[in-house]
Amino acid sequence: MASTLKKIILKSCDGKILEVEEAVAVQSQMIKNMIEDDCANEEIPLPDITGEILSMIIEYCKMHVDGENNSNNELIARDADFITRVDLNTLYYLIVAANFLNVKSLLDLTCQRVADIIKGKSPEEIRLTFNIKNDFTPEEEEEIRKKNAWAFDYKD
Amino acid sequence: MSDYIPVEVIVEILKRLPVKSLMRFRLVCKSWNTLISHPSFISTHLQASHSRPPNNTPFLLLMYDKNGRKNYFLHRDNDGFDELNQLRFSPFGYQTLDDYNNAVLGFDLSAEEFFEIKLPQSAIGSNPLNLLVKKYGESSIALLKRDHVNDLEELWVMKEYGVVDSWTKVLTLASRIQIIWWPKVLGFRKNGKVLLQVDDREMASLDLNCLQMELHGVEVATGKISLQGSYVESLVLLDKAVNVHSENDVNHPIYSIDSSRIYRRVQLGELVMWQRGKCIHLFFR
Repeated sequence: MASTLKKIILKSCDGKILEVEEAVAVQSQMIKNMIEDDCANEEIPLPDITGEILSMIIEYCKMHVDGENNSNNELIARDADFITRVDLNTLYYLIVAANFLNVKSLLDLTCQRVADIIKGKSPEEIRLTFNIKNDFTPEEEEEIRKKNAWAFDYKD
Repeated sequence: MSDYIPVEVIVEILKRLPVKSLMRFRLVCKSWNTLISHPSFISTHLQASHSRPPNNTPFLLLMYDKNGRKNYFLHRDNDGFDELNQLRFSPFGYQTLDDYNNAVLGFDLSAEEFFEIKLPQSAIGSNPLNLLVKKYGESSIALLKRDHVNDLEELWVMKEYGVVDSWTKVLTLASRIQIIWWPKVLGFRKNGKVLLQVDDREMASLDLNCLQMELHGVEVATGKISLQGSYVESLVLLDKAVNVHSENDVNHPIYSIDSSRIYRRVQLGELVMWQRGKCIHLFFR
C-alpha cells in the first residue's frame, strides 16, 4: 500500500529525529489533523516530549497498528505488558505526551494505570507521589476527615 | 512525579477512581477538594463510570431473604454473579411505570409529566394484575404477561423505546406438569441475558439467543426475590449531601434527602440514593 510508505518526521525536544510510517503516526489525532491540513510535510517539532518518551509512544502506536487484526484479548494483554514495564515517573511523562499528541487509547491506558496504582493510597501518600503541598489547616483537615470517616476505613 | 501536572490530566486520572478513593483524596489539598466536589467533575466521573467496560462497573441491586432477614444485596453483573455486599439500608422505591389497562404509564422525571405507552396487541385488555413492566437495556422497557388460562408466560421487549411497533416477543414460558416451580423473570442483565428465579431459592441467567440457562448458586432463604435495578457509584449530590449524616453513627452515615429534591437534580430516568456516601442510581424511563 502506497499510503503506508509515506514517512512522517518527528523531532523531540532533545533533538532526536524519528521517522514514522504515516499509518503509525495517525494514531495521534493531532498528527492526523496536521496531515489532513497538509502541514506534516516537514519535520514536526514536539517541544515538551523527549526522545525516550517519543520512542515509547511510537512503540505503542506501532503495536496497535500491527495488532489491528489480533483479537481484543491479545491487544489487552499487550497493553498490560507495555504499561507494567513503565515506572510512575515515566508514566507521568507518557500521560502528558499522550495528552498533547491526543493518542486516546494510550491516554486511557496510562491514566487507568495511575488510577489503579493510587486508588488504595492515603492522602499523605498522594501528596508525596504528586509532590503536592498540604494547604489545609489542621482544623480544616479534621473537619473533612470527620465528615468522610467511612472513606478512611481501608478494609474494602 | 513531576512538579506540575496539568489539571486536565489530573481529571483524566481522577475520573477513573472509585468514589471511596475520591472522598479520601479531597484531603490532599484545597485544589483537589474543589475539583472533586465540582459539579462538572461529578458529571464527568458519572459518565466515565457508565462507559467503563462491563467487567468493572455493573452491579445488580437485589432484594431477597437471607439468614432470616429480607434485605438488599449487591451482586456483580458478571459471569461469577458474586455477591458484593449487603446494604445497611432500605432504599426508597419509586414506581415510575404502572400497568394501566391498555398502556404503560410512564413518568418523565425531567419534565415531571406522566405519559402513556401502548401495550403490544396481544396484551391489550389483560388484567393489569397479570402484567409486569421491567427495564430493558439502557433505556427501554419489557413487559411480562401471565396467561393463567393457557398456563403461559410471555416476555415482550420494546426494542425502540416509545415505538409501539417495536414490541417483540422474546420468550414464552409454558407451564408443564412436571415443573412444580414456574421460572420467574426478575429482569434483564447488562449482557442482555434474562435473570430468572428458577425455584424457591435459586437464581439463573438465560441467554435468549441460544436458550442456555446457567445457575448462579446463590442461596436465598426462600420466596420472593426482586431485582431493584442497576447500580453505579457516583458523586452526584456530593456538594449537597456531605453535611447530612446521622449523629450517632459517624462511621456509617446514612444520607437522607427528600425525594422531591432528588429527582429534580438528576438526569432523565435516574433515581439517586445514598448509602455510606455512595450514591446509588436506579435507572428507568
